[in-house]
Amino acid sequence: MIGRHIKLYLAMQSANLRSHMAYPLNFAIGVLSITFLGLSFILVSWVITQKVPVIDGWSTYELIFMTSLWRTTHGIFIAFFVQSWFLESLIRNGEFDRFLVRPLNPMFSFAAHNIQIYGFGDMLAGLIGLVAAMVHIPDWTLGKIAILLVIVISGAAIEWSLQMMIGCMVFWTLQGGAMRHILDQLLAQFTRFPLSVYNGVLQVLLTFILPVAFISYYPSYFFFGDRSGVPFSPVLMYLTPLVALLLVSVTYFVWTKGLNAYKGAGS
Amino acid sequence: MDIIVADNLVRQFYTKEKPEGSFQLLKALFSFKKQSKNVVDHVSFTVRKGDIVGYIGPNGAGKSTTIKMLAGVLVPTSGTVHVNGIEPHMNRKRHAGQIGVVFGQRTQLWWDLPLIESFKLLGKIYDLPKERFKHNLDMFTDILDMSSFLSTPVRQLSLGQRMRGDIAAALLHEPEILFLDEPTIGLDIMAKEKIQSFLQEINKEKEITIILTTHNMDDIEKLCHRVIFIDKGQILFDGSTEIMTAEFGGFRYLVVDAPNWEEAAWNGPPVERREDSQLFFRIEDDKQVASMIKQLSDLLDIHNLTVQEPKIEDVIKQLYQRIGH
Repeated sequence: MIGRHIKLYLAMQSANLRSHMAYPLNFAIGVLSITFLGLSFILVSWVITQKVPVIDGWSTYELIFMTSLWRTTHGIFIAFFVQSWFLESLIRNGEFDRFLVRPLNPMFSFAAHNIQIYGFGDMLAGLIGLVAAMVHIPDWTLGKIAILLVIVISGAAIEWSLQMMIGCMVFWTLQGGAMRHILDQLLAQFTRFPLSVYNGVLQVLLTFILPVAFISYYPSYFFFGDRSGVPFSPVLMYLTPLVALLLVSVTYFVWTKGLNAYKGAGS
Repeated sequence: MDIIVADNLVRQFYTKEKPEGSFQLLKALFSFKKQSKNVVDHVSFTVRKGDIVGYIGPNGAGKSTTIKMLAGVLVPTSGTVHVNGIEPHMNRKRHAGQIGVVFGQRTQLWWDLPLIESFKLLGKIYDLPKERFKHNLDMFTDILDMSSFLSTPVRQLSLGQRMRGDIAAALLHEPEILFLDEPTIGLDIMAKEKIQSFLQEINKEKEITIILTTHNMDDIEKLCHRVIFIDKGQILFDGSTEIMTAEFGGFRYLVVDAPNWEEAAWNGPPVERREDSQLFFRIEDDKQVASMIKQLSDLLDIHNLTVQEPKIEDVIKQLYQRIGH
């Protein structure tokens, strides 16, 4: 059952990928330009630290590590799940109904509906940034790299959950797409600098309400030597996978409710 | 055997009341007044296996909403629908296997890939065994005459070819019921006829039940055994096409072939329609025929003369006029 779904997912996504390959020039330019754009964002961290060498205890390479971590998870989100941005238009133009007349879980159909090549540009930029930073951060082991992989996937899951929950508003309101721009800004801004530079209200918001800080900020501490600066509690730096799991469950619940509302299955 | 049983189907939609006057936008943001409207309003009908039913009515009459309830996309607000004994929304996945859906305006094919790739993917989506997939694909390729464009990207297909592809895609998994939402919209005569004769063929040979919505009277005339006419969510007529013609036709045409008729100089009975040199005069009552022929032969040089039954199109026009559209 799961095996069939994995095979089907790969078949559908490879078809979507080949659709993009039908426009090879777009494909190449798209991926390359996003890679450079991503790298330039990462370089901003380097430029800033040329003037201010240490930001709240974080050195150049630690900052680059943090922002590259987000760039990588963001790339995964964009590549495989960016359609959560477009749920609104899928529903409004009726394409979504197609998912409901197939013998598949609608979430599966939705997830397998699109692949966005620009995500690979972000992923590539993120990976370059990560490697560049890791060279300057001591004590890497295979175990740590395996954990980094888990963190990256969990981070993508957190971003997906937040985006999907906002996307699901459309099931009730047929609008709500504008909300995601707020979230996009939060994600882009608050995954780049240590949370501790912001004031307390923001720290609480980004940790406990919109847990953006679990994507790159808290887990970064895990890989650094000095862990004394973790706000609230040092436990937080281990919690990213748990937060991801929790959010994904909540999101699936919201999705199910939203789908019922869309189909009109009572309130 | 009744394959579809719809009993008192109601689908309600809520719309926000639109505030008027100044600050509309602000008011709309904070208004919670909702209005409900029955888009489908106590609709009941049954469809026998192997029927072709035309589901017609003006835009916004509730056609697609009904189809969506039959397809399991929407849940009825009240009332029930059973398709092959299943309530579609209760058992959506199983139901999906027994229906095929074509939304005429929206393709389910992969736009940038060769047509064949979409078929292969659908074979996987519906989990078809290899031999069955191949058998069905070969059959549809043959009768829909698709072999010349199977490996062409869908975006390069003509509308007619694409529609053939879409219909084949909806039938690959051998559904018992096919829902078609405007299958011939925008097609030229040749393409239309190809699709109509194909639908007739699979209906006859595979006993596939077909429900189609259309604004194309040609489809109804050529395909449908039965017509359901809906407006404002309610069924206004449900019956065979013959009964519809008898009930809402109630008139015939006296068709006169008169090549040298001139509109400007005409002072005889009103000409309802003109096709080339043929003039159509409407007769409400057969007793009029003789007197009208006499009147016309005085005025015109008549080459030929026939009495014709109205086309479905004329009947539908009558129906629309009666409901005030």
